[in-house]
Amino acid sequence: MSGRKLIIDGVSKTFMEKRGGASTVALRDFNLSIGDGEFVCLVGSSGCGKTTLLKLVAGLEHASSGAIYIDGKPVIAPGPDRGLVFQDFALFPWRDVTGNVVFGPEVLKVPLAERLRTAERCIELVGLSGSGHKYPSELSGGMKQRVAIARALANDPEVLLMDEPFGSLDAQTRYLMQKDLLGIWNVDRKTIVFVTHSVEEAVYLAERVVVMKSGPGAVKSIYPVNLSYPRRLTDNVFIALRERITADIAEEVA
Amino acid sequence: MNLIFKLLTSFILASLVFTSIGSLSGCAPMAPSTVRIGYLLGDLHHLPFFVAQDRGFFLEEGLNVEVVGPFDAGPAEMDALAANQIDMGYVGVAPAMLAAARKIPLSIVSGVNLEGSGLVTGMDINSVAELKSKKIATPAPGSIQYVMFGMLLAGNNLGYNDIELFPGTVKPPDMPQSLQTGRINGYFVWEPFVARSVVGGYGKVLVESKDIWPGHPCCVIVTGGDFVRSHESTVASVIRAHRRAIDFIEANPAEAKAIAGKWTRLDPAIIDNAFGRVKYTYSLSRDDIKRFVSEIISLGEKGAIKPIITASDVPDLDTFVDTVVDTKYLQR
Amino acid sequence: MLIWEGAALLSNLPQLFPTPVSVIVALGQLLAAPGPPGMAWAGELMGNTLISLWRVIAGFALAAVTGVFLGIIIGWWRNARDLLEPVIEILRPIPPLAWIPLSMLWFGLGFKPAVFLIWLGAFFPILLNTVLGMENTPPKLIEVAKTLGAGPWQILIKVGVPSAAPSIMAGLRIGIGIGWMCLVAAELTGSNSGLGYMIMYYYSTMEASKTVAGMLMIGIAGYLMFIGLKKLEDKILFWKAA
Repeated sequence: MSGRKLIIDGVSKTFMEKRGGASTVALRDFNLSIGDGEFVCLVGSSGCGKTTLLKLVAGLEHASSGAIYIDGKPVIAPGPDRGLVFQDFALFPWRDVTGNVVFGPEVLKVPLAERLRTAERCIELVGLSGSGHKYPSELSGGMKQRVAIARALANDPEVLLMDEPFGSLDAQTRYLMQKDLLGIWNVDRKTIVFVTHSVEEAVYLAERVVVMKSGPGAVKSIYPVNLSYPRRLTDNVFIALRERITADIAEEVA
Repeated sequence: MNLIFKLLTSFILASLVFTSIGSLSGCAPMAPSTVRIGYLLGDLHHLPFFVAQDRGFFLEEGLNVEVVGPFDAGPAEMDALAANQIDMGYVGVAPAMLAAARKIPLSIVSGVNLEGSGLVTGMDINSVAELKSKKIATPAPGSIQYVMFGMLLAGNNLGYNDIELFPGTVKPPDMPQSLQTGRINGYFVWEPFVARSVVGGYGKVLVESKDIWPGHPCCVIVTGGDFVRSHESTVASVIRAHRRAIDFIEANPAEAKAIAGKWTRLDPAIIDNAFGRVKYTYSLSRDDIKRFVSEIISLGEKGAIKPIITASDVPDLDTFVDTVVDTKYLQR
Repeated sequence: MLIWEGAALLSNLPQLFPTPVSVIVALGQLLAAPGPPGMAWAGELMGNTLISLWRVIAGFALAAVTGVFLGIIIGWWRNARDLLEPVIEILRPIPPLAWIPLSMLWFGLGFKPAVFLIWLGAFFPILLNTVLGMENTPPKLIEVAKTLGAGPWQILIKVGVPSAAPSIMAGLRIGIGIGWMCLVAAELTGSNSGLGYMIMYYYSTMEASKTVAGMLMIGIAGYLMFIGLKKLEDKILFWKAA
């Protein structure tokens, strides 16, 4: 399995109950390997551990057993090689758009001129040119998420982790963002791990869709999506795949 | 329109609050046999009060005395009198006359003592002239010591601007220590806090109050104007007990000193030192009191003290003094 | 105003209850009268006001620096909190007034003990609000910062402190209000100048109108400082505006 960008090897995660009660096994023996520049979506019913897995890859949590490797190096802590985008944007309200995007290079001590150029580039990439001086409180949901993506990209991470990033946007904006994300991915081919509740979104975006089972979480099935981009929601193959995956998840719950 | 309504409501509420506070403080007088008497903090001048209380002289007169205080200085006690929190009080004649000048109804019904205050300085100061620009503490403005210090300044061609004065913000019991630690260069206060520095060895009496004005009146007993009208017999009883106490002090100095030690919380050595400087007497000298008031006025005009009572406050000094000083209780 | 005037006249206690007219007259007298030692030129009212202002600003500045600094430490590091919290919780309920004798013992007369007492009054609200602000830093923002490569000190300074800024500003506003309220108590510590002292002086000489005039001045000065701080807060927290 060497040479792969992201390897999740036999990872388990148990959460201890704080008040000495029962512990929860969130993930058991999760295995997945993802190639460089690949776009993978994780789907599954609620509570199957999708977010936990993302946090483990990000290094914000530690695996109880097993290991995660990026370019062959084990993941032990959060770092700029793994960018993270949250559902609720998590922008720094006291910084303007440029200030938010430039945060990563700033803490990595990149010289001023260079990091401003980087920020400018990322802002342009997400389609927000000219809005650099605006504050998060002045932005719409969609714009905020673009900023979050630009911010994550500014450090040129090896892997982009996205946790239901479009979940709090309205349908129209959501469609727009999906298209734009693919556009960005076209230009800057990052490895993307995208968690979502929406099977349709997963099929629209991903090269592979990984279905997780819950209690405890692990890989249930993997569906390659062999449709060319941009995909059409009304395409028969698209619909068939979508229904298959949906059924797969549903039988889980029953 | 809305704003005006709001302002009006808040003013109505505010004035209701004020007047109710005002009326609360003017609560009904106590039952006839109970009388509230105030006194000053650790003031050896008020020894007759301590003696009368401890030796039961008040009880023997059928009086139930509620001891109120101690107050830090005369003006605060007069404020309490005006607010009807005390019925009678042992207090300096200067604050009493000040209160009267401010139209607070009161009567001075008995003397308590003469003299008994002093200016204490560090060992390094040898004359009043050396006090220039020094830090001197006194009790609150309007107290006897404050006024007499002014007299001392005037007699030495100094004004209150020549001294760095701290009137009222160093409490008398703290004065000796402030001198000892060098925070102040001197203080003018009532006994026994004068003696304290002397006995402690770090201060000396530069000037005794009797040197400024021999035989000057000091503390008196005052009573609120309403009270004296409605409780003549109570007032008379208090004064009788008071006179017995003075006689007792004269006849039994050792016991008197012990009582003084208890009420002032100071050592016998200090009480001993202080005792000789205080002259207890119940007599009132109307002329001396009048002189005190006119001193206050002229000292203010001369700049020896910041003006407290002005000539315009008491246009007819004689009548003013006569309405306040009431010697009839002393004739009985 | 009329109601105040009427009520005052009715109570017939000019000593205890000055009329508004007399207070205004007193204000005028105080403005004109010569100032306290060293500030004779400013007139009694303004001279004492400036002296008190200086004391409050000094005490408040000290409280701001110590309160915010300690607040950041306590709010951010659990160990620090466990260590220092008991001490603080014991000292906090003690009213500044109770510290007066100790203050005079340690610092003497005049400026220093007054500043100490004002510091005492302002310190705790500033500290507590700073701690609260730091503790309430959204964990998501910390996580984001970590994934962007920020080290622990960078997270403290670039995420924790800015996030706590609104709380800190609120604490400062409360602190200066309390600092002003402590002024009279503070100037009881052997002062012979300042608004607090002036008020007590005229209380002693039973010139109630001047006392009330002084109180009014404290209220006005305190209010002006409050407004000033609010303006500063609006500038610093501009990102909340939109």
